[in-house]
Amino acid sequence: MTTLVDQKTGRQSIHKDIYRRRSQGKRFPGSVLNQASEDVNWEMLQGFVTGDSCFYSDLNATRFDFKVPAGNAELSQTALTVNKNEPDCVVHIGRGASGALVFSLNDDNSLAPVRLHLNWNAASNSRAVTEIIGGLRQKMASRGTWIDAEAGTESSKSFHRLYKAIAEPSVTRLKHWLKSRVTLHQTALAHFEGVEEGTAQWICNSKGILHRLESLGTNAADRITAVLFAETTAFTVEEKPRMLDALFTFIQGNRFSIDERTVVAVGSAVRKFAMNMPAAKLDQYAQLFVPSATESISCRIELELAKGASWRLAKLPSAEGASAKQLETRLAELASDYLAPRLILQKNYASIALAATVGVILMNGEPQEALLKRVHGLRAGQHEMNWFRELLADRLTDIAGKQVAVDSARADRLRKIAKELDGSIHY
Amino acid sequence: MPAWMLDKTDRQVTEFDVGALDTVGGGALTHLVLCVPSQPLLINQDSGPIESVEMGPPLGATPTKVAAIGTAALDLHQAEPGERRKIKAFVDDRFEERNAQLERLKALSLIEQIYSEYVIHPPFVEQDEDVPLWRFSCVGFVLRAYMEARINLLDLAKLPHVSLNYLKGNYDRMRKLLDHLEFRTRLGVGEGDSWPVAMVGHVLNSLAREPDEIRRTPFVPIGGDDRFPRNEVESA
Repeated sequence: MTTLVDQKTGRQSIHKDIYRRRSQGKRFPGSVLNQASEDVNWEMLQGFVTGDSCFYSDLNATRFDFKVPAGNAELSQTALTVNKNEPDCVVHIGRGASGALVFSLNDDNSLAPVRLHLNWNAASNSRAVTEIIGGLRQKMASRGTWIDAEAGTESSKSFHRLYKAIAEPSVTRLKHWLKSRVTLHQTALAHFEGVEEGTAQWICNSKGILHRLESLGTNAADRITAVLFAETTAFTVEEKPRMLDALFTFIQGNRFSIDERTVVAVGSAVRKFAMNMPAAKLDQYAQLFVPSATESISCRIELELAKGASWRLAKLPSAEGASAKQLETRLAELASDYLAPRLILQKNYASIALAATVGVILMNGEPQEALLKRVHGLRAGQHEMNWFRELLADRLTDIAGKQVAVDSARADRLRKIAKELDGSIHY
Repeated sequence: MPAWMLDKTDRQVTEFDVGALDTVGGGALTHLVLCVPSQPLLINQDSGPIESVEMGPPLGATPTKVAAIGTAALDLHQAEPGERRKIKAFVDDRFEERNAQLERLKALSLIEQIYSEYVIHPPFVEQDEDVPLWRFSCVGFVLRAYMEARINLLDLAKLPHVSLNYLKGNYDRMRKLLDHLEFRTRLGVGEGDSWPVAMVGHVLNSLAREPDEIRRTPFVPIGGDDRFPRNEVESA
């Protein structure tokens, strides 16, 4: 294989022609295909795909996020896939790894695989690829490691084994797509290393995140990543309803999961959803508290649900929050269940009971009275459990302080309850 | 005076006492943690790391070798461990959020990790619609945890201002990045040339008072209180 480097700068970069080809989608409407006619070496394929819908390439150290148009065909987890609209792009999508195969065109017009790039992502479930890679395994680092297996080098044995195992059959099947070629005149193969160190751009913008949240083709790992980054990303007013719908679907479909990363993502989704939901969605949110016929919700998720509800109710005008009777019932049940001395000393339960109680008090409905009675009477043996009453009083006082300007009646009511709670404390 | 630089003398550390670290070297204390030994522990300058929780980022639980400790004598004279329970509820809450933070930071570059989900000023930021989780500085995490126990260690409205050069000395990891306005803005120290930043020394000097006074009056630091032990020359 010929390694080409820019003669002037010595830098490796994707040839502009490749970039132009990538640029014909909606994202870069002004671009045109303008392949140079000079024929030097022809090589197939540049770039790689993470997940199934995002193409990344590296052009002069600037990363481009390119959305692969519809019609992209994904094969099985460890197979190759080809983008029908960009047939020179053949990517390997493996569970936990993504990569690209680079081909050169032989004189007899046959394709010769010359290089394989794999981007290893240890954060994903990577077992399947680990098994296939075999001999290359020792070269992996914890995350983002490129395995650059090149024919004719020391790693050629591993490369050919890998190629035989996963690439060759797929390439045979896909050969009819591999008709378009890109010249590598003057420049070299993409300098992929830049991708391994940095961040995929889509996690840093609301559009990219939203696309992955909504796309049915997004794989599980990318969807979780999208949910996690949605939490810390600001969405526009137009995007918010879509974001809420996508997060709700995610929460609903995963709230019983026992997979650690999924549980963390559900908690993240709950916080984001709750803080942004309009009053009209409060009763929809209440459904998330309900166990199924056979599954119960973990206390970690209950904690986030209860916290989210109390945060949102503190922000919404009293009347809007008060109308969500289903949510009030769910919060009252939750608080009541955990307001038991033996439970409340266990991790998370105090916080769940506290957040749920705050939520019920904010809604100012019928269940409030019985719940406050429970709080006042909370004792564990000799202990008064004053700390819980103090925490509740402090929360209410804090919310009241923020409500004075917008709803003084509510602020007064919360302060009164807080005062009664403090007054009931005996040392 | 329940705050000490560790020397040869044994000092007792109990759950949620405050520990300070010299991360830059040279004796300046630049990082604050909550110590969480499973039972009261005697430590001195030769002791190994003790279990602690800290705002990294990410918020984490790690064994830490502390150079100084401070205590508000939590739950002193109380029939039940109320102050510790309240702090624990707060820390447990944050740890669930921390798991999500940890996953996110894995996907970010080193530079992005530094400013993502971290603040310098104010010391803590409450959740909002855009970022529905608490953000802290290392000092802010400790301050907010103690506020749960109704202990206001500092009067946040009366903090002395510190300069950019001073911050660079204390945040060695981001020394160069602090030259960039955009970067500083994300951490809350954007426009201007000085900011009322809560420092490690302020907290230790607050704790270097009688327990009753700590609970009664938030500490109002003045120049020199950013160092512990207090820098008498600078404050003179």
